Amino acid sequence: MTDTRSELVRALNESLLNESSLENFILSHGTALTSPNLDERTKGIETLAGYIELLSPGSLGEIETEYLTEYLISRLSDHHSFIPIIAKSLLHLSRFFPISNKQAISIFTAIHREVANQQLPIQERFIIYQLIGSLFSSHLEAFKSINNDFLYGFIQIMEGERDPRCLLLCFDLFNKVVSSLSLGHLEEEIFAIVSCYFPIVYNPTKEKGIQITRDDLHEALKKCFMASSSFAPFAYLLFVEKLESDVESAKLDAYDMIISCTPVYGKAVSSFLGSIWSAIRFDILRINVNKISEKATQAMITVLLSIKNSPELSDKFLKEVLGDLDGALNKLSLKLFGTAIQFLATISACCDYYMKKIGSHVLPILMKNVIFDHSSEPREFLEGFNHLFRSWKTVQSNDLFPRIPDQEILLTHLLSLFDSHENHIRLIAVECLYNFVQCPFKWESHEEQALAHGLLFLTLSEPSSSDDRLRNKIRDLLSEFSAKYPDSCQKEITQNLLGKLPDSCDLTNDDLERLLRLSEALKCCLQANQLAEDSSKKIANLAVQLFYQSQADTALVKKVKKSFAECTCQIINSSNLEIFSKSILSPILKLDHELIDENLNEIVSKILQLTSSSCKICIFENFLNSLRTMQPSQDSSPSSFASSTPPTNLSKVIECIICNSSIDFSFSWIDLIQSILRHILSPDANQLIDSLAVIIEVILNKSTDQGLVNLTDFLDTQLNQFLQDTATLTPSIRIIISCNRGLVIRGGEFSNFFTNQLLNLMQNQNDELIVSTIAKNFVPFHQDFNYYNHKNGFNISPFYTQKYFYETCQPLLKGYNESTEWRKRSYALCLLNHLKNLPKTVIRDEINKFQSLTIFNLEESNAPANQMTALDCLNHMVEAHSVTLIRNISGIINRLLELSKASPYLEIRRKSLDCLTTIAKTINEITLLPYRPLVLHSLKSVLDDRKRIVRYACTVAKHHWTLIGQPV
Amino acid sequence: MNSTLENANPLIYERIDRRQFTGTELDDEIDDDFDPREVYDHIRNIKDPEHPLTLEELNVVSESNVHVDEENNLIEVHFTPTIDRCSMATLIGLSIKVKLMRCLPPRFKIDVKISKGSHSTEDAINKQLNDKERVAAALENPSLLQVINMCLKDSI
Repeated sequence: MTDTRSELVRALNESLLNESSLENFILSHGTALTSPNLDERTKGIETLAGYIELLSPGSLGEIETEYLTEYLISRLSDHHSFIPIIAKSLLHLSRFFPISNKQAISIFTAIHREVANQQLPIQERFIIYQLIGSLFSSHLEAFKSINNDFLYGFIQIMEGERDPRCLLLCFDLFNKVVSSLSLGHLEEEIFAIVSCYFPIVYNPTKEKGIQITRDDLHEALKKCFMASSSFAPFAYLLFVEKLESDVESAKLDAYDMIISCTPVYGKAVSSFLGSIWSAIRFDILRINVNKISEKATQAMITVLLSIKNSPELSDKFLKEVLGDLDGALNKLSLKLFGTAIQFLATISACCDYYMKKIGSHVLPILMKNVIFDHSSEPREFLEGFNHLFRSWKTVQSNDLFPRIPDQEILLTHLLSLFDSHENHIRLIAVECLYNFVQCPFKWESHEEQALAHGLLFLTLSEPSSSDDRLRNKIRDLLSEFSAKYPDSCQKEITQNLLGKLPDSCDLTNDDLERLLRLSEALKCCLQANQLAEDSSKKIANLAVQLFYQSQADTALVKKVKKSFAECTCQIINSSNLEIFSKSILSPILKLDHELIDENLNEIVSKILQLTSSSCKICIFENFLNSLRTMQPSQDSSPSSFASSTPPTNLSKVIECIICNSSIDFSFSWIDLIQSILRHILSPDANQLIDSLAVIIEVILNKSTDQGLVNLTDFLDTQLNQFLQDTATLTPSIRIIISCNRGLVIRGGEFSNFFTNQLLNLMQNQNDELIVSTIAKNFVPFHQDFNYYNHKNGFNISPFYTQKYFYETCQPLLKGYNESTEWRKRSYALCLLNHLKNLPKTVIRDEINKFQSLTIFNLEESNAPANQMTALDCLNHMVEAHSVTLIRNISGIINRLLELSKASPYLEIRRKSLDCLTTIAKTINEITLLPYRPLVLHSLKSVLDDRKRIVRYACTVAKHHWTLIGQPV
Repeated sequence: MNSTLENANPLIYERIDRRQFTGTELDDEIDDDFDPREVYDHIRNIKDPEHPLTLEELNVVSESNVHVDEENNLIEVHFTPTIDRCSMATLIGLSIKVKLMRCLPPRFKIDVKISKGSHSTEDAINKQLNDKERVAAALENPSLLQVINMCLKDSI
């Protein structure tokens, strides 16, 4: 076999290298192609097939193609082993060379006569289908001329196919054939070759890779069924037969076919209405709604829509359906009311014609039971209304059924149910009205008015204890009403609610309850109504008062605050931007600055979250400009709306805004920073500095790389000047620390722009306080600052902790080794802060280097900050890689026990106990067992610590140490 | 232990949130007294020997049944078995006692008692639980200690 292949390759290479023409090729291999010896012939035909495959498209003329094709067709009857090779060559020829119509027919006829297709292996059958498909697409007219012969041939070739891959190809070909040729008297035969596959039974084996699924086959088969409307009589018989089956998948497939095929088959369904309805009735009248009943309902809708244009037929059918369901609708004891009404509601929503027909039949039954006869179980019937309205609200155009019978009576009755003592009845009534309002019915103005009055009553009288569901439903109804009837809502509800708002809010619980009800209702009304300026101001003022007057933040107060903030946001978003500055922030700016911290962030962040971005930018620019133009001295003349604003308040507001919003818009940030830096010299610099430093930090963090070039240069020049002056030294260092934090967390090119400056200050400054401040803040960690958040537009580089550690570790270690006393401690604190925040994978490699530094700092009783940070580091190290610490474990345990007993700081005592817990949890028992008695004995006294938090920590540590070596 | 559960379908109660330390509790200058909640926190997460549930979830212990008398160094805990014939009552009581002995300073006298009228052999169980020697002897039994440790293992 290998020899034959290599010979073949050699022959082909020779032919191609010599650029041999077909003529030369035939001359050189002619003897093999016509040899009486089978092996020789096989070799010759294989070589020819290989040659054909290597031919580039268009390289053969019509005559050459014709000769080749003729030869290949003649070989089909020669020997069965040639079939696959010849089919492949013919496929190649049919795709890339001009085969005549006559030859296309010859190829198809030869395949039909000479090839026993279903006896071939799968791969070869696949090629045959590809060949027929290719010929059919390119020679459609030729095949039309042998219409019936082709159909017979096709039926015989395809019949009995079982391979899913081949079937997909066959189904596709079937579609093309049926849609292109006239089926004539062969309809049934043609349909039979695909109908035998319905329903598809196929369970693919669990193999890797892309697989054909049952659904793929079902979808392909469905297209075959839909290919011609002449299949209808045979198809419906088949579907009805499968609908009666007990196999769930068969039923589902049959419904799916009905849903897809009925629009194609059209009125043909009329002969099968009775049998289809019998099957559907059986499936829908199930108490548990499942997939089958859903499909049955969909099938019913399709059937109804297909007969819609024949009023007589549809009326007759509908009469039968409604007659069959009458029992279920009238006798609640059958327990089928819910499913029947749901079914009718769904099918009636398919168009206004059926909405009218079914509505006119069902609504009187419901009205009779709910209103006129006062049924003992009104809930069931109210649910019936609910189902109908819920379905009807999706009906787009409704010319035939503009009003339901007794619409006003129903509305009045539903409104009267608001007085019911039973919560569930009120709930259903509200839900019913909610759906009713959304239905495409016409309402008289007095009906709108009545509903508005009812809603107002419901909103104001709704007790605080009422069900949350009821409350939410009322809100939904109000929103829907305000959207659909804005004028009535504005006139009858919004104005009334505004009139009831107090001018100032007291904080008794009753007032708060009332305020909550009013604000929630207003929020719904505001979705569609725009308020007059006075009303908007009133709401915004109340919002601010609420945020600043409430001392006890109970759950109720929080709800009221949230609701008012949302109301205000709606006003701001509906383009009344002035409200934000005039009514919300301006009053805040005038408050005592100590009050600002508590609630400012809450209100501003809440409002900014809900405000559209364009509004945010406008709000922002107003305030930034105010700060930019504000002069540091008291007698300055700041901008318009911030005229009487204390600078501390303005800076806090801006800090809050800038932290809660992105700054991706153009603004002269340098001017702003320049203005901020001017304040360093002002008398109230101490009060301002924290906010101003944060503002600069946030600007640096959120700016683009391009923007940073100018900003950093400017800041560098300015701050260097301030550092020379003793009066501005401390504030400028605080600003440098903030700048460093913003840039380090941001990462990128400028991340260590201010780091060297801080390192220099640590080395050269002789003021212990300044150096220790730098040391405490030298290593930034974004999680320590709650404003750092990706959502608010902050840039947080993923690996900044490691990067910053490796960049500064060497100079810090050098400083630590070369300095003494307090400066040494400061360097140690920087290093410990680094270690504390490093990821475990990184700290693992650094434990050896920093172990002694950490343990040494545990002893620094003069520097509690160092001790605390060292405890954090130790905990982190034990968790990351406890094995490295084992050689020092005795010293560590003793030191921790001593700290937990004797330290005057509760945080140190607690942290040392936490460390002991981590040690007990991570280091193996054999190592720890010798220390167990000592630890348990020492901890006994700590159990009586004067601080509860320490006692809790001690309990945990003692628990873990007790279990060491114990049977568990 | 029996293979069938004595109370296979107990009522399950809500857990309370973890204690938050605020205000004076974080002030190093002010002493914090022992309160019932602190003692309750030590025992509420003990596992029931029969169910994968805590004593709090089964309402066997509750904060109102913990009494702290710091002046007299006395702590009294009453527990209520889920059924009055519960054979695990002694083991539950012992687990509570051991946990409190491990978590409270030695100056306290700890009394663990079964709630009045909640068990058919109430007196016998109370006597066993408050007999120092019997408790010490029980803790020297490795298998019993293992069972108790199993109940206490995740009680933090």
